[in-house]
Amino acid sequence: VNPRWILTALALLTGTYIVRALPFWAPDMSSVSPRIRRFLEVVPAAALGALIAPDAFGTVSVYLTAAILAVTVLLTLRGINLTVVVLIAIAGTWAGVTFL
Amino acid sequence: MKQFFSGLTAAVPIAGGYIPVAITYGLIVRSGGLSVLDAGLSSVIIFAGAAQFLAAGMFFSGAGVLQIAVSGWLLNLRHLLMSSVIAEHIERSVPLRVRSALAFGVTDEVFGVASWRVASGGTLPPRFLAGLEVGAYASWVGGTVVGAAAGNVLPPSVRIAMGMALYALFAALLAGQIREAPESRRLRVILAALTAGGFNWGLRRMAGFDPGLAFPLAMIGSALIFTAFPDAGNPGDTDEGEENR
Repeated sequence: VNPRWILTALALLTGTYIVRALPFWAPDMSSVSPRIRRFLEVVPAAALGALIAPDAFGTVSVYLTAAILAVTVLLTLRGINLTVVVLIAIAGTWAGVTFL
Repeated sequence: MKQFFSGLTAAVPIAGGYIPVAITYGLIVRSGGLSVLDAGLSSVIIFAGAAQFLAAGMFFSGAGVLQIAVSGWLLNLRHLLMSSVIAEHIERSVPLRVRSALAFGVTDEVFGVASWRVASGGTLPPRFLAGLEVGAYASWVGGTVVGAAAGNVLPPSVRIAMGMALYALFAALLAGQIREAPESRRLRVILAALTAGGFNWGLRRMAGFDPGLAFPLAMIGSALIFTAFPDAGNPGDTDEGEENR
């Protein structure tokens, strides 16, 4: 066991757990200021955007990555289930890497 | 008990999405030089998919514990909103220790299933939520251990394809955010994501920033810009107006 890694995990747990637990401990605090609420509404999208770019583009060709991500977004917008979408993306990437 | 099993059953689609991603995570931790136990323990301790990938990436690039913790915390701030939606549907009579335990398992996917159930008119009994979380947690931890222990027997093409699973999951979650956003805010959500991606790209590839620094800067920078940005089709929108929604 690497102690620094486990320490990192525990540090992450602390921050993550507090954020998840606060509304469970104080159910009445849902009246946060509208400005904060608006910030919290765009944070997930901003986080996901920064998680995708640039790291998604690196292992396989840029065009294949862009095509897979575009299909993923379109299928989800059409209401296709998350699991199915992820499995399609895996299959599509495998086919792209193998046959192109 | 019946409610618990019904929760477990509802976790099956989550497990289907988690297992390939968890296997990939296990593989990454292992290929960075850590042990199977290290990989498994991190999933047992944290149970936050995206933050764990972020942590592994930063850890292997030499980032400090505090730097990783802050980035992961920022990334998981989104759970504040998700938890408050779920907590609203848990009865007040449920004791604090049960609430505290249930809070541990609120991930994006658990939230997705729970909020869908609420939206379609169902209730959210604590036992159901417990079953849902246990099912999701078990598949996440199990997948991590399998990936760390045996992931390297997979052929390289399959490993590359499974690596894409993570980004597909992020893209699908982003599309879900876009779909769920009220129409007046949809454009803002899309632009916030594109801007954050663009910032992160620029900071990393052009300015040569360290990923641990570029990620929070890009995320907060973009979120602040679009917090100040008024809603589309409602240019006179003020905070007061929003309170009356």
